[in-house]
Amino acid sequence: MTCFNNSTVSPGRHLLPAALAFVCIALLPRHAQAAPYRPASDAVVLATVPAGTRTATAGPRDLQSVVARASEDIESARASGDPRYLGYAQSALAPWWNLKDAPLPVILLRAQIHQHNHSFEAALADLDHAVVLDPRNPQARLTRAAIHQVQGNYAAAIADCRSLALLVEPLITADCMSRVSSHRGVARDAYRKLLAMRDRSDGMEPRQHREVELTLADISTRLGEIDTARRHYDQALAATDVDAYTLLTFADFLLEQREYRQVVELFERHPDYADLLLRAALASRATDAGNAGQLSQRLREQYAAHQRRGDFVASRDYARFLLDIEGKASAALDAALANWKSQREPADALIVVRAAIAARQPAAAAPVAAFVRGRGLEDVRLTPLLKQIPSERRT
Amino acid sequence: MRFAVLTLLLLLAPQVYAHKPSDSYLQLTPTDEGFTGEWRIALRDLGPAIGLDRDGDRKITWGEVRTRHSEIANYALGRLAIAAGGSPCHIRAGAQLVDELSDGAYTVLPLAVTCERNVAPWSLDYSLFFDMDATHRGLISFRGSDTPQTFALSPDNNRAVLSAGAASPVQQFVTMAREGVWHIWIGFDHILFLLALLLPAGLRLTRAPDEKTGWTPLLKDVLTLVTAFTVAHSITLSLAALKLVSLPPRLIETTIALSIVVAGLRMRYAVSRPAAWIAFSFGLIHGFGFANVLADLQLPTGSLALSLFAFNIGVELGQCAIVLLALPLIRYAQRHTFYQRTFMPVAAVLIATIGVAWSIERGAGLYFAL
Repeated sequence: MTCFNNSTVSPGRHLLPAALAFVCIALLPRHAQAAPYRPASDAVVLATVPAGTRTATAGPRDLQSVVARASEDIESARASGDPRYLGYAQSALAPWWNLKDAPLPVILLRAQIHQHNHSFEAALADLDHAVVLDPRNPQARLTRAAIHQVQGNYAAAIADCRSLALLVEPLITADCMSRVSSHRGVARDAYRKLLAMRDRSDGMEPRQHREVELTLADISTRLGEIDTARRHYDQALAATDVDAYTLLTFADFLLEQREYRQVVELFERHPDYADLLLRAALASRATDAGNAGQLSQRLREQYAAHQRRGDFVASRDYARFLLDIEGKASAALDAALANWKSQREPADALIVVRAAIAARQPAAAAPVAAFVRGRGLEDVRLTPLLKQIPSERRT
Repeated sequence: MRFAVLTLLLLLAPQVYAHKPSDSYLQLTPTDEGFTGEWRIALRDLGPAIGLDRDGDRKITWGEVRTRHSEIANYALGRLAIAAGGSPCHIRAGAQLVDELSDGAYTVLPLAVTCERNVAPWSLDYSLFFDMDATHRGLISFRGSDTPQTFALSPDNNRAVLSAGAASPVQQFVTMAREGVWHIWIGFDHILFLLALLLPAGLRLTRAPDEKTGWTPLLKDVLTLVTAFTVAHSITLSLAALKLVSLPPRLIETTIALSIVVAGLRMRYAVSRPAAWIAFSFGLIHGFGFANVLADLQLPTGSLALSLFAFNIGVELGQCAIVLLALPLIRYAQRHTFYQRTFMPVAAVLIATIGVAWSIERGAGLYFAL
């Protein structure tokens, strides 16, 4: 597409091309115009960075300090949502990274890094190995339960949760059990059990408390009990400092309730949390806000930049971006189905079903519908949409 | 205390990062002495790497960056090496500016690269931030006169080699043209269709072949025929390769087989009718067939038009070669009554039969698939 053409313009008619040129410039996305510049003053803040310095030579390199450093990095990645910390952790573990028989603490951390990067196969291989090395290791069981749950292998996840019973405090086991069993047709029962356990526990560790509230909020949302869910989200947010995962699930909840103003406010309060950008873009589109185009463009550029790295994996967020912002239903369906191969949470099912309906290929979502029905998954967001999906033909 | 450590692991679900991992962007443009370039490095990465945040407020100001430009340049240039023809080039950094990309502020380091012997192959070794962040990538783009070459360098693959002949457009053209020639030669269905139309060329329903008839009617027929076929398949080949039109491959293959049946029947029953319309209408379908082969070749998206053109040229060259080989033989054979009385009907039946067999085979696949 060209904005300017070379045709000669007669003297009296130069207003139209000038106006067109003006419109063209006005319509150019903000970042397309951006060029290197010299900031106006020394006081201009350009970036926010983590505290401290890290270099390869900094700090001791013995196993214990390296493991401590890598665990801290993984926790930072979780809290900030910045995957650079996973790269830092991987670099810290570099001497052992490619060793199959690495020490147990390294294997456990490596599994978590793989898990965050969606390399679930590699993560499970490490965790299976860890369980062989130490069958009573609660960390290995917990991480493995989380992966099995995300992949929809609920029986395997429950088995890992059960084996925690004598290894960790009851609330952790209850959280694990309820989280998984709420996907297997007993959501109400799972909610009740976890709530009772929470009320009996006192002096909960704050992050533990946050996790439990998030589980309760998630189950309530799927059951359509919006006010209850909102209360649990408020408690989760109050339990600790902000963290990326809580913010993004809460923003998704607000979007589903059409609380667009609150989503935008959340993003304005926490602009450094990249996951909120998609939610803010969706909210500003829904309200026809003036910055909708600009937010979408920033998102578009981020995905384009990510794809240039060569390690881009289509996520459910990317599928939502394609469907709800780009309006490319069939590309969104491809992305959602690719994501579905490795991740099978209700939100992953939802995006496949929505994209399949939008792309007028409801049959493409038949395996997802079969999964939801087969597992007895209860979710008020999915149930009405599934009526539009034909059941899978036997082949 | 054991439980406190364990709570770290109780995530609900692994997070989906919208956040892009760390990248730097290095653009290089060839000059007479070497390259000029711009290297964009995220302040978010430089911060922890060289401790930009002197006052520890976790905010990096322009003042903090500006006063340490030479340190930044030394740090970065110490982790980049460019060589030409095996000997190292000299890299100088100019005055730095700031650029806002979609994921934050970057310092922009202008580079002037001078190589003593500025000859191929050029190589680039990159190690910025690899000691700190294993997922960092150096995204390199060489912007030569032709299509830019890009590399995503990682700790496991930290070297980019740009050799002059690596993918020159001329070589690419020759490769694609050769593919085109090859395809029409091994594509028996295309050859058979073409032959079925060629064999009766120049023949009119005269009872006896006229010794005095020159090359004129034959050449005229062949020329219109080949032109019609070429124009038709060029149209659909382009449409399909540019993804403007797509048909199911089984439908295409079956219709190509049917085109052979039609061409065979025409030899037997309607020799006097001009073949150009058959050549044109079925040529459209043969074009789709060529496009399927082209799709299997995995074209570089940057030079699709060039590759498409080259492939088409190759197909035409292959087709011309077949015609040039067949023409003298046909011309020679047409002098004998045997050709028109016996050879033609037999060939017609044979070709039509092969066409029918292929149609059934390919069509059957179609029905099973449905």
